[in-house]
Amino acid sequence: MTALAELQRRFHAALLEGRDGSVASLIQGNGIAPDRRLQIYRNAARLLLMEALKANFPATCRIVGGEFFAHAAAEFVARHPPRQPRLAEYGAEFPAFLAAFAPASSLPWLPDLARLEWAMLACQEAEEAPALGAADLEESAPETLPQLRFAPHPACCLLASPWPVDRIRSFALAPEGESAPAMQGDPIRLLIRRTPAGIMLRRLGNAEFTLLERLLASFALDEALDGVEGDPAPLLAAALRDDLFAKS
Amino acid sequence: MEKLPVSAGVGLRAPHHRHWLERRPAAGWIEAHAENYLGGGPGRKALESLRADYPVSLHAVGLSLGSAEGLDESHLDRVADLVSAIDPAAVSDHLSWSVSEGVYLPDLLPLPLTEESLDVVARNVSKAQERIGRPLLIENPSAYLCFRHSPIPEPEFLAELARRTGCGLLLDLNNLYVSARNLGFDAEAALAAYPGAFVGELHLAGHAVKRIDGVELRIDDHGSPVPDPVWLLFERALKLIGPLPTLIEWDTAIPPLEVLLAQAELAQVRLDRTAKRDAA
Repeated sequence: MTALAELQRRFHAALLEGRDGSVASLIQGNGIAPDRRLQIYRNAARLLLMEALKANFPATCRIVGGEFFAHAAAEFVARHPPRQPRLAEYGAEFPAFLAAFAPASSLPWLPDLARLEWAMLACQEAEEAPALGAADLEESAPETLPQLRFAPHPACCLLASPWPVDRIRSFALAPEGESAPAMQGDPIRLLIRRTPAGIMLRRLGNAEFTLLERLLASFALDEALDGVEGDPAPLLAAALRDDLFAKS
Repeated sequence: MEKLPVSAGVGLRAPHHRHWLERRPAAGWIEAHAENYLGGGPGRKALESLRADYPVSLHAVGLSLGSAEGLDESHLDRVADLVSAIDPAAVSDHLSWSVSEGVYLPDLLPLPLTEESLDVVARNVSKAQERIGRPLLIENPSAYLCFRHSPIPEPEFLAELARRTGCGLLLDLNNLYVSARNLGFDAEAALAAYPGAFVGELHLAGHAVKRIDGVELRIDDHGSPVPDPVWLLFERALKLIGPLPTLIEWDTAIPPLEVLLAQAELAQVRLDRTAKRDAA
């Protein structure tokens, strides 16, 4: 390892793990102890990462309270420091981290709430892509339709949870005094998508969820429709209206 | 390629997107942090829309040009794609590093200014310039510490970097002042030694003052108006180098856009005064 690479490795260790020893000796004091100087960088990095998690998981933060969130976030940052420079994309592993975070074990719905917030953020930040419209399908010959496969649009996704995390989220973000939703026994299936007016959540029935799950996984249309109850035509029309597929 | 106008610009920040889009206030140019606009959605659309009415400078904070392990190719590709889409008048990043062993820390960390660092930064800057297809402006960061072994003075380091890579420089006068106070050197002398011929843009901002171990430290938080000593350095820089595109930065405790525009007006008055004197 080159001298600079070694210095940078040690500097990071000092900032992330608080091990100042090996890097402090390389720093000029000049009136302020080297470890105090390092502390300025350490505080700035921790604060920015904490703020990023708060911004990316606002309802999760609000519902557990700032102090609990800060505790969880500090441990998360130590275990999963970012591996890319976009703070709006930091925290992909946070829901799974919360699922294994012992102090949160009494809140079994918390990881799914975080999962919902992450899915909303991913839709919000997804790259722009032209959407497939009903008119585009008119160009396909009818006999090719059963074999048609769709590419998922990057700004939409599905989420299923045994908890009503959409209502829990609204409650968490509502002004104080709102009554809490029942925190149990209400499995939901959600469609999450970006619209010009913001991120929209819509609860789906079983048939629609199954169909969309298959279509977004690029099943051929006849495979996707296999065993789906009821008339699929309106569901398909709604999917096209909602811009769920990308133009290939 | 369009150039940044020699006038005062303002940083584009998410809380002001609506104000910009609806009222299109007068401003010489705007600067957007590249990393905030790499995705899609309303922010990216706002920047694309404003691009039609304002010259844009793209200011990256995450290329980590000082990393010994080289550049993150996928991030570089995303920045390059944004540059192609926006076609900005300038692209910049810092003389600093953030990445080690693939881990990114959201800060502009200090480099020891050595021959080895110069080789590393020059290699990374050249690669980035090749990928995005245009020269970068490299900014002097604010510093809270200095390495014992850092034999090359910053102005000399930057001048040599510019000579080797063809990059330009972005001189941040607030950073120069903050570093001078924190590390104990003379900001005016450093400014006089600065390789003005390479400078293509100036930054102005405010900072915070803290006391640690009974010693005063300046924290570069971009959270207040430009303070008097930084205005004085700005006037001095205009005298030494001449008028340049000048940005007002404000990143924390962001006030209404009018406050930023008023700061830009104060910079513009000084730019106009210098231009007039140069013409006389």
